[in-house]
Amino acid sequence: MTRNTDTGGDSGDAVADGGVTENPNGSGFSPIAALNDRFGSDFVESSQFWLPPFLLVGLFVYGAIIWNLLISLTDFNSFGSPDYSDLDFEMYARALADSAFVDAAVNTFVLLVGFTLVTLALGLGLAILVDRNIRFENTLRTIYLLPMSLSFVVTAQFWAWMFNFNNGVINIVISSLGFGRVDWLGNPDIVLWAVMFALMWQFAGYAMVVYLAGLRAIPNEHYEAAKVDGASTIRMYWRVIIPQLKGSTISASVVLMVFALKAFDFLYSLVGGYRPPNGVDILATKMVREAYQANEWAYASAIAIALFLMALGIVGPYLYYQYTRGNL
Amino acid sequence: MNDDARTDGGTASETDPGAAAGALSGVDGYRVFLYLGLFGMLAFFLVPIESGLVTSFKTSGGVSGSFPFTPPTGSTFTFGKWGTAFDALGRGLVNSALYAIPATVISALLGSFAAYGITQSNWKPKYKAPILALFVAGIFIPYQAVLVPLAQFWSTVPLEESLSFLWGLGINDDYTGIIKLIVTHVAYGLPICTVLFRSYYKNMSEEMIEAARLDGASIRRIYRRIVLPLSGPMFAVVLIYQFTQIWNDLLFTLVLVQTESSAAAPIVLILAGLGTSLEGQDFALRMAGAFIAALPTLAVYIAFGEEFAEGVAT
Amino acid sequence: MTDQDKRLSRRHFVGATGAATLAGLAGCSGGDGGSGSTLEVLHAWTGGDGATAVEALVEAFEEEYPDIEHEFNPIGGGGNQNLDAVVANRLQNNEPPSAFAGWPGPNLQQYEGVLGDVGNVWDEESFEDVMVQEAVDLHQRNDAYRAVPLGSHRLNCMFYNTSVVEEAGVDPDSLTSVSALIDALETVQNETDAIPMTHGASGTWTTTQLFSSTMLGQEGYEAYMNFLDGSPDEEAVRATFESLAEILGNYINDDASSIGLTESNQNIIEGNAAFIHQGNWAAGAYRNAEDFSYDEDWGFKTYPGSEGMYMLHFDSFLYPSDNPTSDVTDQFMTFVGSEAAQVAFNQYKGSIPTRTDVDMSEFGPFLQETQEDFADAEERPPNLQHGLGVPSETMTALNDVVSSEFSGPYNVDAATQGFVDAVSN
Repeated sequence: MTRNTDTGGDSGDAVADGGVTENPNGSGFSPIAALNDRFGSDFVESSQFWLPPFLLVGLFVYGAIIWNLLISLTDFNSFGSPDYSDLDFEMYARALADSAFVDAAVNTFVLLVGFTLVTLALGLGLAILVDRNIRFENTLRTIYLLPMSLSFVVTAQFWAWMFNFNNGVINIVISSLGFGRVDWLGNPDIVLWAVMFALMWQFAGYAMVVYLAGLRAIPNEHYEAAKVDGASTIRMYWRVIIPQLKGSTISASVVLMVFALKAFDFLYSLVGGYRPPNGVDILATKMVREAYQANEWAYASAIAIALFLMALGIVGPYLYYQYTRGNL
Repeated sequence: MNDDARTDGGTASETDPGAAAGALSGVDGYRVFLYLGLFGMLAFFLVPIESGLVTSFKTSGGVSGSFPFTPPTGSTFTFGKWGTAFDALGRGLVNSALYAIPATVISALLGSFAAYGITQSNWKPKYKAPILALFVAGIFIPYQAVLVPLAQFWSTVPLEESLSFLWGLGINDDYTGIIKLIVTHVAYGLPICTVLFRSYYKNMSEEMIEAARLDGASIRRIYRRIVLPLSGPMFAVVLIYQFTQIWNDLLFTLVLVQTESSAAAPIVLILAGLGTSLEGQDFALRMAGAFIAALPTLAVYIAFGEEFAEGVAT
Repeated sequence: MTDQDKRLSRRHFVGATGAATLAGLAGCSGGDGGSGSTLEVLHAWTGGDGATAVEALVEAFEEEYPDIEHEFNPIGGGGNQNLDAVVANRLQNNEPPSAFAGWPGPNLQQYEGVLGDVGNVWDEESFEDVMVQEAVDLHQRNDAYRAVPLGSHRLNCMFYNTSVVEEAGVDPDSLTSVSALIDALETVQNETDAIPMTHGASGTWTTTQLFSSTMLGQEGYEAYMNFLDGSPDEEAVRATFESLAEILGNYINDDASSIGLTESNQNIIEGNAAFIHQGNWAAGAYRNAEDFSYDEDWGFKTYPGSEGMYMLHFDSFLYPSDNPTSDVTDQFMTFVGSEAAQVAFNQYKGSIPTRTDVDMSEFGPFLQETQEDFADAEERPPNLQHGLGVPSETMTALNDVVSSEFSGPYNVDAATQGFVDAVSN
C-alpha cells in the first residue's frame, strides 16, 4: 500500500491531478477512502483514466439526448432559442397524425428487418463458402469485405449508376435478357428494395467476417461427429453448425440494424439533397429534412426520439443479453 | 424430436442422388461448384466498382454510347473527368485529413484510457457494468437523436471569437467547422474505441500487471510502462477503424460545415453534390469523384485488411 | 428579438477587436483593408447561367462602387437547399450576412423577426415608380420593405422542339386550352417516336410547378388565386389533378421519376421529346446548345389556357436585420434595383428586369418578347413553387403530397384532398 510513494516521474503527475495521492489508509475521514470503500479500492485512482472520456460521452451523447427530449417538448421552429417554459407532447401527436411520418417509420422498419435478414443470409453463405478450405482465401475475403471500407457517399455514387434507367448495368443486363427496363430508383414500390440491395452489397462482407469468426470457433469434432452420423453437408450446417452461430448472428444483427438506421448518408448522397426518392423516406432522412430544411426543430427532435427508441429497442435487449452472459 | 430429425437427416442423405454423386465423383464436381459460387460472388462485389472505374475514364458521349461495364475505347477515353473531380475535391481531401487524423488519434487514445480505467483496476463489477453499458450503448445511438442539441450547443460556443488570432493569420473562419468536427467525432467515436480496447485488455495477461502492483506501481505507471506498450496491435485496429468511420461520415459534416462551397468543406460533402448540379447528372464525373474520395480509406484497407476485419468483427 | 440584439454578435465583436482580425477576414476574400465594412452576400448561383450572371453582376458592382470591399459567397448543393440551411444557421446564431438571395412574398414569413427594413432605399430610388405593382406588394412584409428584386423569370411557359411538332403536324400556337394540349400530346404519341411531354420528376417541385400552370390555364385566374389565398375550390383542384393524371400517366418519359430538369430538358434539345413545361430558365440550356436557335429549332408557347398572363417569379436579395454592414448593404441594395445591375445579371441568367423602364436592346429576341409579355400582361399571378404564392411550410406540405400521392401511381382523390388541406386556412 505504498503505491503513491513511488518517486518516478509518474508521481508528480498524479499530484497534479489532485487528490489522488492521498493515502487511502490514512486516519480520519477521507472522502476518497469513503468512495474507494464504496466502489472498490481503485475507484478514485482509476478515475483519471475513465472519467474524462466518460464525461465527454456522457455530455455529448446522453446529455444531448436528454436535451433533445426537452426540445421535442417545445414548439421550437424559428430563429433564436427554444422556449422551455411551455412543454407538451404536441410534436408527438403531430407525428402520429402525419402520414409522412408513419410512412417513414414503416419504411425504416421494413428496411431494418429486410436488410438485416438478406445481409445475414448472404454473409452466412459467403462465410460457409470461404470456410471450405479454399485457395485464395485471403484475396477473396479481402474483396468481399472491401465495400465495407467505403463511405456511404461513395457507394451511393456507384449504385446510382448501377440503377440508372438508361445506362445502368442492371437495366442493361435485364434488357439483354429480354425483360423491360425497370425504374429502380424512381418507382416507389421498388426503390426500397433497390436500396436494400445496395446496402446488402456494402455490408454482406461484414456479416461474412463475423460468421467466419463464429465458424472457426466451432470445434472440429462437431463437424466430424455430424459426418459420422451421416449427415449431408447441407444438413450438417443446418442442424449442427448454424445453431452454434447464435452469438454471431445476434451481434451481427445488432450492428446491421444500427447501420440501417443510419442509412441517411446513403440516401442523401443518392440524390444530393434532403428528400430521398419517393418510397424510401426513412425516419433518419425525414428528421434531418424537418430540422435543416424546414427549421422545424422541435418536430425534428420528436422524430429523433422515435428513432432513438427504435435503436433502444434493438440495443436494450442486446445489452441485457451481454450482461447475463457476463460480458459487461 | 431432435433424434427424429437426425434420423431423417441420415436417410435423406443416403437417398439423395445429388449428394451421393458428388461424393462418388470425388472432390472435383463439388469443388467446381464451390469455386463457381466464390467467383460469382466476386463478380457481384466487383461489378459496381469495375463499372464505376471504367465509366470514370469515359467522355460524356462514351458514357451514354457504350455499355457501362466495358472499358473506354480510344475515342471515348479521357482523363478529363478525373481532372475535374480532382479540382473539385482536392481541397476536400486536405480538409478531411485535417479533422479525420486528429479525431482518430485522440479518440483512440481516450478510448484506450477509458478501457484501461474500467478493465484493469479493482473496483466493484456491479458499478462498472452500468458505466460500460453506457459506453456500449453509445456505439449504437443514431446520430439523428443528438443533431438538434448539437447544433444548439455549437451555436453557443464562441469558437469564432476565441480563435480570432487564427483568422488574423489569414485562415478562413470557416475552419471553425474543422474544430467542431474533431470534438464531435472524438465524443461519438469514443464508445466504439473504448469497447474495442476493453475486449483486448480483458484478455491481457494479468500476471505482469499484478506483479507491478505488488511492486507498488501506480495505476498511471502501469499504463505507461506495461499496458500502453502492449496495446500496439489494438491501436492499429482502432486507428484504422476510426479513421475509416470518420473519413466516411457525411451527416456531421452536413450539419457542422453545411455547404460544399465552404473553404473547410470535407470531401464527402463535396462529393455528395458533385455531378448532380444544374449541369445535369455527370456520371463519369461522379465516379471519378467517388474513387478520389475513397482512395485514402481504400489504401488503408488494402494495407491493413486484417486489422480492419478485426475491427469490424469485434 | 431584443435578446438577440443584446447578444454580442460575431460581427460586432469583429468591429471591436480591431484591424488585426479584420485584415484576416478580408484576407480570405482576397481583399485587403481595414474598414469593418466588408459586404458579404450569399447566393446559390454556383454553376451554369447563374454563375455567369453573378460574375457579370459583381463586375458591374465593382464598376459602380469601386471602394466597397465585398465577398460574394456562392453556397452550392441541392439547389437552394444548402443556401437556405446556411442562411438559417447564420440567422440562428445571430451572424447574419449583409444580404442573401431569396424569394420575396409569403416566403418571407419564415424569416419573421430577422429581416430588417430597406424602405429607405426604396424611397430614395423611387423603386415604387419603376417596378411593377406586384413587385412593390410582394417585397413588403409587416408594413416594411424587406428585400429588393433583381430579376424575374416566367413560370407559365411551354417549350417545344420545332422539328418534332412539325413531324407530328401540331401547331403549338393553336393550343389555347389544356384539353387541346392533351389532344396534341396524343397526336405526337401517334405520329412520332418522340416523347410527347418530357418531365423530370426526380424532385417533386417540377410536378408542383406543373400543377400551378395547369390550374391557371384550365381553371382560370380566379380559381388559382383563390387556391393561393387559402380558399380553394375543391372541384377546380380535382379537375386540375385529373388533367395532370392524364398527362403524366400517358404522355411522359419512362424514366421521368429518376431524372431531373437538366436531363429532361436535354430531351428537347436532342429532339427526343416534343414539349416541356418549365420556367423560362430552361431556355438558358437552349441558348448554350450548339445549332439550336430560337424560332428555328425551339419555340415558346405560353402554357395553354394562360395566355395573357405572366406567372411571376422574383430573384431578390433579402435584407437581414441587425445588419453587419448596414451602410454598404444599403448601397448594394440600391445597386440591385438599378438598371445597370438588372441588365448585367438578367441577360445572362435568362430572366428579365423587374423594372419596366429598362432598355432591352442587350437582350436576345426571346427575352425581349418575354419582357413585352411581362409589361403587357393582364394578370401577373404569383407562382406556387417559388415562394411568391404560399409560405414555405405550405410549399413543403404540397410537395409532400406530390411525393406520396402523385409521383406515379397518380391518386387524384388523395392528391386533391392533400392540396386542399395544405393551403386551406
